[in-house]
Amino acid sequence: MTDKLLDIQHLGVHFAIGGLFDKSALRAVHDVNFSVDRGDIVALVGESGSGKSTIARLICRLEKPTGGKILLDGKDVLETEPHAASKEYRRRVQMIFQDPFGSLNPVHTVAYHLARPLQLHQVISRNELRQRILTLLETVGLKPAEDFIDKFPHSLSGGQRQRVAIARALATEPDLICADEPTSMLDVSIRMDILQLLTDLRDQQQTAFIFVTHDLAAARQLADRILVLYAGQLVEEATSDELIADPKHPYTQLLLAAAPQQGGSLDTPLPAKPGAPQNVDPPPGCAFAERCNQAMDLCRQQTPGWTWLEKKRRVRCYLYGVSRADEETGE
Amino acid sequence: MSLLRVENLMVDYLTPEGALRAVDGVSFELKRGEILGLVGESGSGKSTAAMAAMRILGPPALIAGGSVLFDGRDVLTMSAEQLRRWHWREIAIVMQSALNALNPVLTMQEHFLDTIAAHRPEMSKAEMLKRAAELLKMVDIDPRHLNSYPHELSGGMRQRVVIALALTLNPPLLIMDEPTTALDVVVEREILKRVLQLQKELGFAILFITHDLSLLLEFATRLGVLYAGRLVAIGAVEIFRQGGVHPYTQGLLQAVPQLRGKREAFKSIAGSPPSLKNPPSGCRFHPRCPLAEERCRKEQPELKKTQSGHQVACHVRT
Repeated sequence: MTDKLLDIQHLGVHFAIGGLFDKSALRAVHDVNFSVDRGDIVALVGESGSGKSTIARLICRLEKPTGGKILLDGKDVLETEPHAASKEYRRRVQMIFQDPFGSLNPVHTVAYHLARPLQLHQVISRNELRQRILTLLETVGLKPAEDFIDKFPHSLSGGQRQRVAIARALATEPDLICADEPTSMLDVSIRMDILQLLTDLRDQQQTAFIFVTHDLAAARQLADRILVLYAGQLVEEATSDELIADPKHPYTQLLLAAAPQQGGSLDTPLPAKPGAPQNVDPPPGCAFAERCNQAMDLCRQQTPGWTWLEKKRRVRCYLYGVSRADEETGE
Repeated sequence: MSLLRVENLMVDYLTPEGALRAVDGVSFELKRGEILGLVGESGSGKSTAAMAAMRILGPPALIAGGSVLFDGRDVLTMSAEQLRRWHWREIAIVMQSALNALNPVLTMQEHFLDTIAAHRPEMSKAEMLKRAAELLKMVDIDPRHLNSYPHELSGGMRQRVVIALALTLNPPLLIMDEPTTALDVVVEREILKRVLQLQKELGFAILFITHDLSLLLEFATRLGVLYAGRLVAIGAVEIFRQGGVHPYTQGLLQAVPQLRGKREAFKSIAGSPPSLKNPPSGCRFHPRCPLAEERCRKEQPELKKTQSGHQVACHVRT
């Protein structure tokens, strides 16, 4: 078995919008390629509308792509199970949502939330069931588990609810969990605990994570690698330390300069023009060209392809080479 | 004389189970042209304190005690007419959700005309329109958007419009309640830079409320930290930049992941913020505090000056 767990190839979501006479194309996700190894933590970083949550939802098969492939263990699941994901796929790929207040059902207990995935995905006796739920609660740090198992969501704090949501995702012993901004609705003082929990789970159970966030500092803390998205396209990939220390893409440089940090100052000029990407009928060329201080003529004509600087270190920008998207041959 | 002086402010929320004290004896002052940051987690009382000081809180909230002086005038005894004149001319607020702050069926122009006509009825319509265009330019929005409706603008542009509206009558104090929380970092930074430029040009003071301590460290003059309805530390921003004095402040500073420096193990503050229905005895932070002593469980600490000129409510640190 190879280490490569998930392989995303040319994934895209394009919508046709508008009426009969003013048809437009909206590109939510465009030509996304990346892979996740077993036990890998990969962060998808971008601003709102960049497509980061959509990619996570596509991988969890909550939405359908309009193009591309999702390979799990080398098998193209969109081909083998085109209409809906198989039960086995759902067992192996789980999701944690941003809002722990909305993702738990207020009329059911913690035990019910955790029993459902266990019963749906494996045959298990009643005694065993309770034992498994208690173990799960302990794994996510809700101790003593006996105190939590019969509680309703409303009597739990936000952090505790998010732990229940994590336990629910873990119940099926998945290989991959997509976590969509799992800490952004939580109080600042408890966010780090949740990130630590995800790290521990990876270390102990070899669970891989796709961590969707807008916070570069949190991405760097948690993830092994960071993928930066702009206007539905990946623009840079690097190990977390490298991306922060030596950002290549002008957009990554902008994101870093804008992130609040200790010792930072609002007086530092931002290295790009203000603006937002055009997702509807995007113009040809690089989506960031309009705002980029270093844009050349070529940038406005042709979408840049990947320039590979090292293995797993790539950037989609002509400043580092002239590979074009239409002549790209893959890795 | 300070511009705004809040003394021992108490605010209750009336609930079926009884009164819940959301702000418990908070005092702070704001000088002209100063930027005071109030930081705290959800439920710490930061927005409630600011809105109570502005007298824009309605039931079930109730100001249960304390005093608020604005430029020497007693705010808590102002009549409805006095409040109407005071609001917007002398104190204006920018709230988090710009979409909710703007009326979806009115154009930008109508928003400005409405505000100006209410407070400066002597102005001609042409003058009002000139002022509206000027205000939009101030926040880097093309005046052609005067005819746009809120839904035609992006989130960042809407928030800029709300800021321009707040500055319409040149108030000496602007309250900003999480003004950029709903925005992306790049947009947030562009807007804040503009606000600070305007603050330097026009000289207004800002009371900036947020949960984002790292952001405040970049531009506030002084900072106050709220925990479970009480002010636990207040002082010049430099001391917070150096790591703070109160154990809660220190914990908060360490709980934020950093972009630079070594990647360290995650350090949250143990436990979670208390419920106001049943706040802990003594120091409200004691169940989560690494330094808690016997005294902290029994006696509530008062704000005391430390050597650095910083005020801290902590038995161990003072």
